[in-house]
Amino acid sequence: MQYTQLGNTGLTVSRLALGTMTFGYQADESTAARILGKAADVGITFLDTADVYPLGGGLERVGRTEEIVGRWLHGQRDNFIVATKFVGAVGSRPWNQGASRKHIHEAVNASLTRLNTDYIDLYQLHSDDPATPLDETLYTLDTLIHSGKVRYIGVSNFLAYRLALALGRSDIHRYSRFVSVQPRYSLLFREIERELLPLAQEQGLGVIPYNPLAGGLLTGKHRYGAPTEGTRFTLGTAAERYQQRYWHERQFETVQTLASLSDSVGLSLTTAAVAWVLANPVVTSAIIGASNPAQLDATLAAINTPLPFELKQRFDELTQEYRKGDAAR
Amino acid sequence: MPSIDIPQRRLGHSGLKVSLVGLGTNNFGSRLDLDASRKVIHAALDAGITLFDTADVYGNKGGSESILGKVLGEQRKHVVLASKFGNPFDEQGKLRGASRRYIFQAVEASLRRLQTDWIDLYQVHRPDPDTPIEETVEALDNLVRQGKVRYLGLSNFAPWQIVEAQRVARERGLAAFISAQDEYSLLQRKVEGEHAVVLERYGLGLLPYFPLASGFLSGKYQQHAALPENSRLTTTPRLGERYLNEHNWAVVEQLRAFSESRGHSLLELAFSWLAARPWVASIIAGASTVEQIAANATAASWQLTTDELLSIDQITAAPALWDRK
Repeated sequence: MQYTQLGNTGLTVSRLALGTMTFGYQADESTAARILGKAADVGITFLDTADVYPLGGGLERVGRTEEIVGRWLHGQRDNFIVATKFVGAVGSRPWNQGASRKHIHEAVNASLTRLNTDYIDLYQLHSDDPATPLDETLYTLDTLIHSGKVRYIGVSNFLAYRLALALGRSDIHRYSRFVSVQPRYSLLFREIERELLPLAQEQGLGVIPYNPLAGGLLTGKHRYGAPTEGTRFTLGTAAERYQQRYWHERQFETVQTLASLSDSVGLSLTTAAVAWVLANPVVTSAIIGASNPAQLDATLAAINTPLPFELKQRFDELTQEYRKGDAAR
Repeated sequence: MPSIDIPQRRLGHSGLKVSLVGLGTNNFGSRLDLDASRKVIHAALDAGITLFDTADVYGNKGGSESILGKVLGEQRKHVVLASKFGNPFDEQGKLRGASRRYIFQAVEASLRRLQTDWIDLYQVHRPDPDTPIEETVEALDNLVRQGKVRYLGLSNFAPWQIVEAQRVARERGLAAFISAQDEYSLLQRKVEGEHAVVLERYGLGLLPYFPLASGFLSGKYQQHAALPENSRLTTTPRLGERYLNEHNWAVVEQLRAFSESRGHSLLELAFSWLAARPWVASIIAGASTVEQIAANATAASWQLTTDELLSIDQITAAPALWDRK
């Protein structure tokens, strides 16, 4: 495994992070434990979760993932950097979501309980909350750092201008700054290269992309047509979002072209796609997930597989069209 | 779980959402005993009211908070709990004001009575001329940092005092004030002047108290009829004198006719007229019966037209306001 600093912080993280959103719905607890064990064995120290996980599980399953991670961490909490998130709805009341001071205090206490820990290493906004003043959110997160419940703060799914605004407000008030961004990023979604990644580079933010395999499309295992059963593309409340993101004929054509190129140099597309994300110098760690331990083999291989320069160039050229746009997620 | 069909509004420039109709609890522990208060609280929860407003002094000093603490129990986390400090709590004059020393003492006492770890909205009940505003704002910020309090509000502050407090908070990066609780009703409209401008400009939502002018606008008072027994305007001479005058009787009768001619009650008019102001976040109304809660909960849903609002202005224009220029 390789390790690096998270942005400008003193925190060291593994260059592959384990995503956990399958735990408690797509993957049962014993499968989750095997996935976690396999990741830990190869040196992954960076675990990413969220209060709303498992993915696709709806309100009735909210929190299961953190509980599973919390039980697994028992006795070995200090060996890992644990990142989680808030903002998503965890209940039906108006203040059971968002980034208000009222919700943040409830959310962090609930996450600490489920994760079975006294502190969260990286606490992230799962998305922007335009209804709450930035100053209120930043003040409250600063309070959590001072109280020791949280070590570092970050964002996910933010527009670049909102993040820039937030960094400016933190500087004015001398509040703790956001140290990282967690954007969607893959060969099939490169829009963040235009605004967000330059901001991250200039401001020394850590970048921890999710969906490096475009929800699995870049494994090459899917065929255009009816979405594959037993995957995210048919999973509960997540199916529609994932189909909208990736299930398009054009994307499938691109995947086919990329696959034949990587095949020609003897690489699996899965490995090459994760390696492509890691090859961007602004990327700190790529988040890889799995619903069974075997899926990790091809993604873990990316850490020891530098992408051949010419292949990277060809990949860049072939996916130019996926830079166009300014979606936040 | 309670139904949430009362609209929710943001309270000032904050991420906190409150139900458009709130419950005032200053009769708990005084005019209402524990059992009667319990019925009112449960009815409010069932009706989807999520903002519960109390103060340390309510209920003969401490009674209202104690009852809320006892009755809410597990429901506490499902409501937005607002309290206040600063009004005289003893005869000797030690327990009052907004000094750092007293604030730290008062919040612990309120938390204990409310049986909770945190108060969602902690309000300065009245300005304290003896304490520098910087001391008050810093001390309140400490409480927010400590997690004992989520948001801060003011009550009975003059517009210049609101500006002063808010500027101290903003310039020092301290927790800002998000609400002002002041008297506002069809019979008392003085906040509409400078006050309302300051609230909008400085990001505070208004929580009107006495929205029914202590019951005068509830519909149960009739001119030329005996006053209802055991009601607030009858039992509290101070409040009776405040509202029961010739001018107000005339206004109330005209407002009643105005509402009834449009198929609504006077109560609905009193609530809906307040709700028509975007800077009003939640209408804090007390209740002594389950029936009153049910009526209050739906009373803010009459969408008044611009013409209707103009007619109401004509009815409620106080002679004094016209004279004053």
